[in-house]
Amino acid sequence: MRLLNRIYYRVQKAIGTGWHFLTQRLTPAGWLVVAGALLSLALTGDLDSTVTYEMFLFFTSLLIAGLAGSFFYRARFEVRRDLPRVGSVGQVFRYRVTVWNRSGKWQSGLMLLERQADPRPGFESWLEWQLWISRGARRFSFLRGRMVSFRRAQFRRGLVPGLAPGASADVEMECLPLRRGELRLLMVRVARQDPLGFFRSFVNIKMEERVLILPRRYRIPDLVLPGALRHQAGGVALASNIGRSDEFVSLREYRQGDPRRHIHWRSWARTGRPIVKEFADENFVRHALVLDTFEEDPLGGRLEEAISVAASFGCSVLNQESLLDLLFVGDRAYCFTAGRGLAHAEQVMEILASVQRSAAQSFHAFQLMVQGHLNLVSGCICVLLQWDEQRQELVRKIKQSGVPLLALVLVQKGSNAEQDRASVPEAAGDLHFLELGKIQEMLMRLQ
Amino acid sequence: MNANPPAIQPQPFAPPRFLTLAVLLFWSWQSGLWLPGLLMGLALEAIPFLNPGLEFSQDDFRRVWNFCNLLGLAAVLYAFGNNDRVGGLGGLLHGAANNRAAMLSGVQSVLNFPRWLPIMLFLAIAAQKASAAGLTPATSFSPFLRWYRQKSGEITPEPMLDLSYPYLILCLFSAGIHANSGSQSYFMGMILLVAWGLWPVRSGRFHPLVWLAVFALAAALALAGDVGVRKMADFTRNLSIQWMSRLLRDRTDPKQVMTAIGEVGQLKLSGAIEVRLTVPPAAAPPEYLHLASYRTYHRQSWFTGTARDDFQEIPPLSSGASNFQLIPGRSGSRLVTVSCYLAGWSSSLGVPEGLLPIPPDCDRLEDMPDTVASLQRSGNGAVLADGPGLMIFKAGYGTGQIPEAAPDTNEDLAVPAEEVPALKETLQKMSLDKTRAATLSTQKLESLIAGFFDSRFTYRTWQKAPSPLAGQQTPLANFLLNTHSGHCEYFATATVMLLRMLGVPARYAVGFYVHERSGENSYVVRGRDAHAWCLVWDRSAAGWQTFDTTPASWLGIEGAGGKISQAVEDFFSWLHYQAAKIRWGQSTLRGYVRWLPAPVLLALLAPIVFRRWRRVRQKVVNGPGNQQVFRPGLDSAFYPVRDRLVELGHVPREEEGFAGWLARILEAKHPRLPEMQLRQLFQLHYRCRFHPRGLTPDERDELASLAAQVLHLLNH
Repeated sequence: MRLLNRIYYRVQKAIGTGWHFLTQRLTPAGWLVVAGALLSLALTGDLDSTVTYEMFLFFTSLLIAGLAGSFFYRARFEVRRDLPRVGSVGQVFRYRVTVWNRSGKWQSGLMLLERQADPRPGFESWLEWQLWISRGARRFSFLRGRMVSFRRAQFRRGLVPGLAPGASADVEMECLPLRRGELRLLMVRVARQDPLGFFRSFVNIKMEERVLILPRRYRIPDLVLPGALRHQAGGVALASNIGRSDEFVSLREYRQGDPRRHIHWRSWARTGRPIVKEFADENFVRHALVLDTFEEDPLGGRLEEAISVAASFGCSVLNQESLLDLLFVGDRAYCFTAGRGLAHAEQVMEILASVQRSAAQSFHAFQLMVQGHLNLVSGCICVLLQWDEQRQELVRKIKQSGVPLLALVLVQKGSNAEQDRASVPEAAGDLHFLELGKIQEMLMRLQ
Repeated sequence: MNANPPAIQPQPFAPPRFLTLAVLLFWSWQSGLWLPGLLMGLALEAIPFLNPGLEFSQDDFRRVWNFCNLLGLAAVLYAFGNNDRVGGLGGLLHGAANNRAAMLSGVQSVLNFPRWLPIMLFLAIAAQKASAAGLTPATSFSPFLRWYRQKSGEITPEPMLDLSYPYLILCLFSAGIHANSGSQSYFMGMILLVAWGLWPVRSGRFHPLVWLAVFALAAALALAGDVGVRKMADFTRNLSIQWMSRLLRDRTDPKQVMTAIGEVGQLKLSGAIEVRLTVPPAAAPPEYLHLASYRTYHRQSWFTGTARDDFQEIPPLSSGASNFQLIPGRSGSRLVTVSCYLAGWSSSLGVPEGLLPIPPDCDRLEDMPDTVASLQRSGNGAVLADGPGLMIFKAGYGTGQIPEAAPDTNEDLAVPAEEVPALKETLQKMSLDKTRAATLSTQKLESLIAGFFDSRFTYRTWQKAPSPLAGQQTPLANFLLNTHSGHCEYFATATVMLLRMLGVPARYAVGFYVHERSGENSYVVRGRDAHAWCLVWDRSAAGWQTFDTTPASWLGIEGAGGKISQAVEDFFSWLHYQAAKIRWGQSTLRGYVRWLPAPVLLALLAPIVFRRWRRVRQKVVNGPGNQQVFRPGLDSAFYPVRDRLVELGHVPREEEGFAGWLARILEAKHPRLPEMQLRQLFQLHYRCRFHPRGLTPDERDELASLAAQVLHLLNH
């Protein structure tokens, strides 16, 4: 069985490689001629009733001539990419590639293509994924399993202006990242078309560079986060340490021993008596962002959505000037604290960009970690992948600890939210079910 | 944030100006559809000039595409419906020669469809050209792609396609759908148009002359390929003629029949039902169904001899009638209904052709299908019919006279020289010679020969390779002297030869043996019931008699086969028969087949009608019109009073209600105005109009009388 799977994997990979090869080599005009040749081939069998075989012959001859013309391409180039450090899923970023013509001839009609590292999973991951699919975990999974795209990014080809010998030119490239994580660019390919414009041939320039692709983010409405301060007069964005701080409470009459800098001069002037400002000690608001990484799908389709939701909330919380503890389990349990000068939103995003599915750890260990952390925080945002017994227990425990909670549960389309909510009645008001495919819409409803 | 990422999209790449028109005109020229091509070309060229820039949604594109599909479906139905003549697609159901005809007919139907592709897809391309984006969303073509993108939460931008160039390729393809007349116009026209289309997309890196050289090279290559393909086609055509002739070898030919005598191995026996018979209640079927008789035997084949071309047209009894008389003045008392397929093909008439399996003494044919093109009879008793692929008719028989020409002393007594020694040796074993035979009656002779075969010979469908010791023996001699076993062709041929050796004219007859009952009054005849026997000339009766020497065990041997597989085969034979009945107009079902598209249309229309009905219904329940219908109090007797007051000059202002209007009237203190009554009347009217329960009958009467009073007062 394993051997069969290996063969199947190889065949699938070979088909993918072939397709990739064709998409790189063939220009749109080339595709059109290939399609025309195939179309005319359909009726070529009958030479009496049709003359479409002439079209087949001609189009095939064009392809042969084009292919012959695509050989004999020799040139030397030097390139340099100016890549951004990070990008975001679903957000096109532009960057510049500078090309130098190091050959002794004038070069024109060139195009730049990027080659990414092969994004396809290795055999073991693929096998795990196939086994999971064959368990029938999803409807139409047999179909979707075969149609999943592993592409990490989509590039637009850049047109290189004519280059005199030794000259250079800047080419603007566009990239649309499709998946979170590290995007590895292996080489720049300087392409030339054959005289008929059907095939590309390449000069490959190896140059490995990386861009960190941050998770996709949703728009979050203006939320009052659980446990947040509501009546603070102003921010303390410049505070440089964590812990206790003074918060203004009221004005009162001066008592002996009060520090002079607390005197409220305007009130003294108005009342004629010395009035001082009174302060109370106050903790910084600290939120826990609990991310559930216990995904069954080896390719983690749902986990990607959960990370996007977590990233959206992470940024939102950090903009509200509070501390954020990001809790999740990868190969081990992690807790990152950000905000208030410790780390910035970008760093949280970078961490989220690298979160992996947790396969080794147990959910129970994760639950214990969260519980142990609850006494440090003033509010807790949980992003859960499903709504089973374990997760319900986690929500119950958080609720029992008295920490304000906002629980976001990803559910399949058409699941019964009311029934799910009723399973943990004490947290019914804090539970929000986000239907896959309608997450943005449902997040906006949180308002 | 991520709902609409900036798109990495292809830009529309329009073909050079007037190329679309040129390609469509080329298509018109090649396919003979001048007007549509010209109109479509002009329209597509005009759209960029008019620059309508319409904002089409994805749904709009989807609707246009669905319409194109419907148009395609209609074109398919029309193409097949319009080509439904004899030898049409139904011919695929049976017969090798019919298959060819049906294939030709089917090819015509199939080819009509791609020929019309530019018309069918015209709207799709026009919509794209008229749209502001100038591109068509890929999802409009595939519900699956739409579904997949929705399900997978795909974030890549909606893939957009530019259909301009693909449409031109399609037009070029459609232009090639016409008979190959050997002219190079299509080839040359295509080269020019492709050059025009490819010029703008050529690589800017090369000089135009380089492009021209490479393009010319490709054209020359294609031209050389064209010549090669034509030569190859001629070669394979010759090959296929030889090959086909081998395949068709076993078809019954009125002029000759090649026997399996001398073939080694197992005789292939088909269980497929070839003929169906229906007889009147309690009547027996004819024992044999005769196809044709043959006179001369040469190297394992039988030929009709000099009677090769003596087929005579049989005229119907009266013009336009479907009854035919085979033997004038004779009318047998028995009648059998025969259903059979015509397995051949008449190239001159362009319809199926075949020999009719009829009882040997058949004297008339009744209720022949109206579509019979020709019915001919030969001196050998064969009846050749041209007409529908399935023939259902009645055959009258029972006179006992076989309608064959009288014996010809040359042909009906001829024995090939190479067979004579073995025949003589056999006759010696039977103690028979010409002089003794002359003294015996035909019946006696028959019984002697039949007894000889019955006692010493066995029926067998298996033939082993002849022994090397047998030398140059003919297969028939081998049968008579060594193996003493064979199938009916051996027995019939040997009997004919023996009879001729004894000076008795005899012929070799082929047809079917009827023995298998399939219902109370019906019988089936399978391929394996094909049989050969001989016709012997009865001097005393001066007529031909059937004479069968094949041992009776042949039926048991040929019938041996799996029951389940036979049942399955019978089921398919039945399906084939029913389909052929529909196809060849022998069933009333064909009328219903035309209505097959109706459910599809209904299924398409039903949602639209339902939606429209629901909308109308919702309007009735919720719409403003409904309130008028159920508004109470419209019959109030107050309205004539109001009208009278208006006549008297108390016109209500637009902004005031009834109460305000009345107050204004009363303030005017008109002397004739009965203030009390008017107030009462007004209150009653308001209750009548607006009180949930309305007025009681008494109160209604009161309202009416008050109104009458007020009116009276106002009038006087």
